[in-house]
Amino acid sequence: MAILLTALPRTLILCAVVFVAAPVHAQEPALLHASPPRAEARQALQLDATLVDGGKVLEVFVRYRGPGEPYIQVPMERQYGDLYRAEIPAEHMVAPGVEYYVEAAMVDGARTPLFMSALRPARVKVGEQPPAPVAVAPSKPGSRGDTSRSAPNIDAFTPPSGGDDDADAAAPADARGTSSRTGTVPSAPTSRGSTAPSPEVTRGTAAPDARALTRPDAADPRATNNRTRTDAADSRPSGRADSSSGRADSSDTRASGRTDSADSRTSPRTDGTDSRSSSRTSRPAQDDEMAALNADLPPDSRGSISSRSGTSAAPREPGTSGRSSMDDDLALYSAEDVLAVTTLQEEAVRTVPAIGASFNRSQMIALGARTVADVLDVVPGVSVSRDVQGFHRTAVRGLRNDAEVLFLLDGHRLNNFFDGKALMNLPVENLERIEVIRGPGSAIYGAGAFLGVVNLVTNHADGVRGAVTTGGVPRDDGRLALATDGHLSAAHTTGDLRLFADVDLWSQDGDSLVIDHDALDAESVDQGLRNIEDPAGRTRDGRFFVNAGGGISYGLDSAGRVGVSARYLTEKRDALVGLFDTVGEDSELSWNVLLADLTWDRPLGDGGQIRARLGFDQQATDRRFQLTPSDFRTGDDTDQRFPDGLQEETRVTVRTVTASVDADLALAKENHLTLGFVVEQQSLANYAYTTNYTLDGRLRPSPTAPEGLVDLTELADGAASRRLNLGVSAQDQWTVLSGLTLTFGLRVDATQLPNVDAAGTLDGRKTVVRVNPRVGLVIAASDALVLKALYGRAFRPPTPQELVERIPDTDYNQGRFEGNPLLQPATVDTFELGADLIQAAGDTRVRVRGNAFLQNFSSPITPVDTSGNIVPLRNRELGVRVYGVEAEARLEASKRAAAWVNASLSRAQDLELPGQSRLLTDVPQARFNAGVSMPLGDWVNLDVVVRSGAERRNNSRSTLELIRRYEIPAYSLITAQLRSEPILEHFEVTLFAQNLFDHDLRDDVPRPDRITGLLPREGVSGYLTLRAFY
Amino acid sequence: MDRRFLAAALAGLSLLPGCLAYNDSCAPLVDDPDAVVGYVGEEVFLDKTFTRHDNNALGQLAADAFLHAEDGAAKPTELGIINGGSLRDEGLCVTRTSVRTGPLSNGVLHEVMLFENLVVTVDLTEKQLVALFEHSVATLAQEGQAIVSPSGAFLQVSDGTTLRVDCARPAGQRVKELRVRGRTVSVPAREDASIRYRVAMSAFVLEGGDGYGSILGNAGQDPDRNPVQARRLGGTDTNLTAAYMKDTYPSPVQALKEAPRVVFENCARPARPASR
Repeated sequence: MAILLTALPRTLILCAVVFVAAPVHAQEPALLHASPPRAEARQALQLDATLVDGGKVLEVFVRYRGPGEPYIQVPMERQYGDLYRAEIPAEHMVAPGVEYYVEAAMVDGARTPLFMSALRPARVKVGEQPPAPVAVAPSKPGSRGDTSRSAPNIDAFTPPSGGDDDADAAAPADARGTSSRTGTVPSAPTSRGSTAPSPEVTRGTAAPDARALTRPDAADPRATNNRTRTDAADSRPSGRADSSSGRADSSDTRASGRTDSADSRTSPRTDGTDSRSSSRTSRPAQDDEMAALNADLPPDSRGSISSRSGTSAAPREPGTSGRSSMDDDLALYSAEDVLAVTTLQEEAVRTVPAIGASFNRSQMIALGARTVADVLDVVPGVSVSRDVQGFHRTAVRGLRNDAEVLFLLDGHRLNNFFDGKALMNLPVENLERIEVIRGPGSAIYGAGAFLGVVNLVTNHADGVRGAVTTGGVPRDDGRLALATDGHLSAAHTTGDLRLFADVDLWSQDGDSLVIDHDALDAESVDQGLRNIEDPAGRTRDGRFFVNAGGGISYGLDSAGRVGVSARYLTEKRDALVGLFDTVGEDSELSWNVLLADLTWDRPLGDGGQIRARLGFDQQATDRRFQLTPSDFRTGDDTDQRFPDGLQEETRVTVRTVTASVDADLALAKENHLTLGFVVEQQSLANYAYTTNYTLDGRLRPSPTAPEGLVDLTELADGAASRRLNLGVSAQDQWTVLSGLTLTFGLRVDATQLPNVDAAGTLDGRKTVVRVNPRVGLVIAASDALVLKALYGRAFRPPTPQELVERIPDTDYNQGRFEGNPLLQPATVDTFELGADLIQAAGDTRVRVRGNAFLQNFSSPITPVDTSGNIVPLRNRELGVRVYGVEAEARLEASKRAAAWVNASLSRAQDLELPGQSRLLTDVPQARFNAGVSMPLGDWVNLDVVVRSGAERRNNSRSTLELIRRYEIPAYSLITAQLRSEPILEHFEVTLFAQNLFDHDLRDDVPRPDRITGLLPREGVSGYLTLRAFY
Repeated sequence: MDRRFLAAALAGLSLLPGCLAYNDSCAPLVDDPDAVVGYVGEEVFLDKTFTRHDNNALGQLAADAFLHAEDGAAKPTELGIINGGSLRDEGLCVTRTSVRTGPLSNGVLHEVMLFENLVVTVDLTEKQLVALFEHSVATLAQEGQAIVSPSGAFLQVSDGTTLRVDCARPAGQRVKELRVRGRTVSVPAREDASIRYRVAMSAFVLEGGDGYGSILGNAGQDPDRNPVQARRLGGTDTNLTAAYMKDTYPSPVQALKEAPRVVFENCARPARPASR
């Protein structure tokens, strides 16, 4: 048997396992029940079921939810014998449908799913049957080219194909539905039709109960039951034959099995009224297997797990994770967003043990967002600003530090080892989801997940998607600064093989705004470089960006799935202003990132999973800053004239190699353990700092490293340039009672840092051990209300730049912070209380979410300029404290009409300072964002988003900060767009404007006394986007 | 039910702006901002060209205060210096272009000298002393040139010291003559490291601020140089200056005035307002 098994495709093994397992489980209680595929709106739905082997069953419950609602529980009443009945009340029977599952309360207090599960509920479509789409009926089986494939995650709601009287036509319709999500080749209806009397699947059944079940509509349920079992037994060989024959002649063996399971979730067909109505009672066993396999996994967990572990290369398991349009409906209605970044398991945001947010594709589109920064800026508690060099800086809860927000791209860290910055501002078109955790993530991610974690998940769903946006910024000289970006992504699954590839291209001229004053105002005028009435210069915001990635994964039967993926990002752009306090219009910054992952994952028998990942990345940055205007003179000599201005250039290359193994283990039904081990070697491979001027301000023939510059890669035998991290983590999620989940996580990290002797000189390496616990208590107080109490600790070690980079001091490169090898890792303790409430009335749903937090940072690394010269960084000994509240509400009236608001208020205090100058206010303390989406007729939607922030002021942490005053008034930016409904099912057009009223937004600069107008941000810009998806 | 929650949420949001708080940048740096610390006999301009490119009465006051910080010590201090960058016009709330003739309040003095650096007295070699002043005057603009971004490294000197500078000379050879408390300092300096001058300065300069690091080295930590940190009044430059002013310029009759301690030759001079 075993030999046979290894030789068989995985599908068959699964069949066999389930078939063998079925009799073994005979003593387990089972429910004989078939869910109706469709029901009338506003009419109570009666559910009947027969309980088998129910000796230990105390009570049976139906737990159901309408779109956007939490699960509601109703008991199943025993009618007579073993027939149970429950009713889903009429008010919950609204389009697009309801989901439900059946649970038993056992005598020993345990709860056992009897029919489907919370994560894979049965679905009943509600409402009228839409007419059969014209495009579908004529399509021929197997003719993939013209089968309509809706883009899986775009909110293109493909109308379900309706009641075809013709069985042959219905089968392709079924296949169409499948391929639209999984991309598998539609199974030939003939083979299935010939072997199984009822080829079409109805609904999946309870995971543990592998037997085919029927609805007991006869007076004697037992008799029916027996008959059905026989049927099912009959169908088994046919199922296998089907599969194997499929295997033999095409690559779609699994398609049949998976198709079924996928269908069971989406059922775009309506078989209730067609010729297959009689077949409603039968289901192939494959569906059950899939159900069994995924019983305890959230619908999307594989995709997301792989995304976290870097196997984003691997598209999702067809049938388990392809999101159907109904999925999207439900997600849209409820914004029942999921994120995998908290626990490595994909979970609904409302119940994860963290304060999180997740934006899916349609939400990002509804925001009028073009880039990740646009999306992050509407997350409560998060603000995105820019600095003079043009970097986007993400502030979380009132604190802003590049090295303290962990950015992941499909689970692969984007933060640069050297300076902690991340090339994160990707276009959103090829992203499926953006997940954000505010607060610590070190219990899972180790170092660097300090203020928050942002995970960008690329779209790997089968199909082809493309988008082109063009538009631009009207500059004040009347020209239009063009901005164009194009995106293409495709994924395909053939049998065990999955492929994906995507590319983003981005080119923009960028806005050009006036900078009136800079540090060299007087010199420039004095040297005749410009007139006194002329501005010091203009911002430059040109950017060229490419993001290309691809991957392949292959299912190795029982040995799991192996995937390889690679991604290359390259960016060339201008500095928005310059290095520090002077306009340097000829500055050039480039950044190249290569990410590669080799992954393996394998499901474990008990619903768990084991994953391994080998990752490599290399980042090369080349930043050349012009420090003075062209033709600048430092003196009268001929070698004191700089035709191209004084310039400095820093080239840094860093590499990281990571190996990690983690496993999800289901210790018991309600206890879920995640174990992880990670080894990571980070290295600074190359560091070169060159200037075109000498320390006394004379022109060099060619850029050279200044005298006295230390090569960081050689320092103390590489002590500062190489870092080994070891991390061991364990996280246990234990559902103590139904509705009460306890999470305890712990990660221990050993990080190498350079060691210093008493005199402050580097003399080798030391290992710093940090323990990061995470405790979470999530209470589902009722089906509508979820309460959370969380504690977490995170840490971040100083970056090599913070530890050792020292640039020789000259008159033109001041205002820097200099490395300090004595820096200690910073830690933060975070306490959070959260509540999440969902209420529904009729078609309208309201979700309200709120939380309060307190964060204590000890020995934070904060650059504070105390002298105006080059100042060494140091830990703030007394720490920083932040507390605040965040709240959001979302009201949904229909799929196309929704409104949301969120607001956050935080107060950050540097405890090292006297009372009157403690507050850190360079980041808005209050943010308020709101949006509304509404239909304008049948084809057009209007989206309006408002982003507001409170007034900002300089921090007053030092005397210098006290006298370098600025006040940035409160702002409100409005994005408005007109967005078409899908045209011909494949196209979507969006016309939108960002900063519609051309609000004069400014961001802070390090020297407001020199750049007195601060940093002007983008004005109004308009774009036209065309999206296509197949 | 929904509406109630929504209303509560919106009500909560509307309260947010009232919760904002900012540091009070106008809060005085001292407890007694209005206390008069002394009298100024002429208007003192605080623009950089006056604090960093010319003699300045408040700079000289501070240098004198440093000079007397260790009065009574076995070895008397011969020179007090303060870098021009320590005198600021930004102020906490408003920019102060000048300090008017008349009484000077403690609050204003603390805004002008707001770094609150510690004062340290230390022995310097002649070579260091001369290098110190060469660095101080290295970037002074020549006559006829505009004074552009003057360096904060320019040193104001204490009573009894005369420095003659020739801006026509190249940087590094600009000090023509230097007399410290009656001692004529040899220019160029002699190599003899046993020739010492006891100099009081802010810890900022001693620790290498404003580019003095390469000249002063580790003098602040070298026991041979006998570094002594001022103890009186917390040892900060501003407090010492305030106390010295109270003693020395207590009335409009005995009021602070600028003295021509640094003599500029061939140097650009800041244009004083016509009223002066």
